[in-house]
Amino acid sequence: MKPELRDVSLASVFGAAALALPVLFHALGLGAAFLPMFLPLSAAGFLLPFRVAGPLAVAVPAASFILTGMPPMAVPPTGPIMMLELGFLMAANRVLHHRLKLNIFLAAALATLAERLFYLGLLYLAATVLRLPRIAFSLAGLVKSLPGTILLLTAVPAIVTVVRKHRIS
Amino acid sequence: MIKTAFLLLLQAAALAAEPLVIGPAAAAGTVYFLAGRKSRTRVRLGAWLFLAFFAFLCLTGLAEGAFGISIPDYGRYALLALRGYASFLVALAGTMMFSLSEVLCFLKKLRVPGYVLTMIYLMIQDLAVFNRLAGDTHRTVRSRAAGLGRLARIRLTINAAKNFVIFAALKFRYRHEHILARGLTLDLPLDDWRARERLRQSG
Repeated sequence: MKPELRDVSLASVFGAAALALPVLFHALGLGAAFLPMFLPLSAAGFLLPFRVAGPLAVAVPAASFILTGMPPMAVPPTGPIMMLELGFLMAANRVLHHRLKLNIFLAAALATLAERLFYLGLLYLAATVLRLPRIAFSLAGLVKSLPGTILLLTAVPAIVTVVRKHRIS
Repeated sequence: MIKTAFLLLLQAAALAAEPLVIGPAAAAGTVYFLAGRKSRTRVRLGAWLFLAFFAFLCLTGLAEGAFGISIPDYGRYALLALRGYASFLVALAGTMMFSLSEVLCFLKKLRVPGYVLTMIYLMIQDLAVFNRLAGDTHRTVRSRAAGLGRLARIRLTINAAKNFVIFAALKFRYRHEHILARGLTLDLPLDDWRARERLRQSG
């Protein structure tokens, strides 16, 4: 089924926010800690069907790389890791909230927890392939992103509520 | 096509060439980009990020070394950070060599669906507005927060973030109505745009 223009238009607004926020956060030196690209895309996972939100998981990191050179795509392979993480997070948000009908805060908490464990596994794998300190590298990566994890648990459900309250989605 | 091949060649060199080649090339690239007004901020940001990446690798290596889990290889960490930085410089060069319609036409040739292309096009169009708003919001919060207590600052930041989200949502609503009013579809006239761009470039 072809997606509706309305969904594509909303997806592009979240995509643009996901491209703009990292520039702002990186300028303040807070990029890796606050997961700025994840915040709008996680909200998109709640508000949009996966066939529209899913391509954002690949399009946003790729567009950001083409526009700014970040996130790196090869060394370190942050871009491909982010694509997998974002796809996983959006799918988890959608399934938990829309299929299993869980409350939005509970769905966000469970999806974020599952995504962080998935991320830990990906970091461990990347560190093994690149011959980096595996355990410390993966754990430090996870700890570094704690402020962003808290935002994913609190700000994203709040944003989704605001958007729904204004009857925009 | 030639530009793409050239960039791919540079990217391959950044990932595979000897450190004695990458080091001077990265230094030359940095000097070149620092001279340009548009690329100056980006190259500074990239240098800072890869320096942070190197420091992060050293710290994790040191931690594992202290616990006897593995032996840190600082030379390898430095080489990885250097390769990453060189690859970033190549990507930065790429951003200055291609126009948006060129990139979209290339994606269309790869049979990327029309709605993804439309999404990317709209995303890039919105990006300028969001960047401007993010910059203005940051400046406003900083100036209004001068002399305020921590709690008031946090409240001010939350309020600004809320306004940012409401603006994004409203922008979506108006843009959607605009698209509907003009009867636009998901198929962008990319070939026409590219032909017009070529015409302009040829003078």
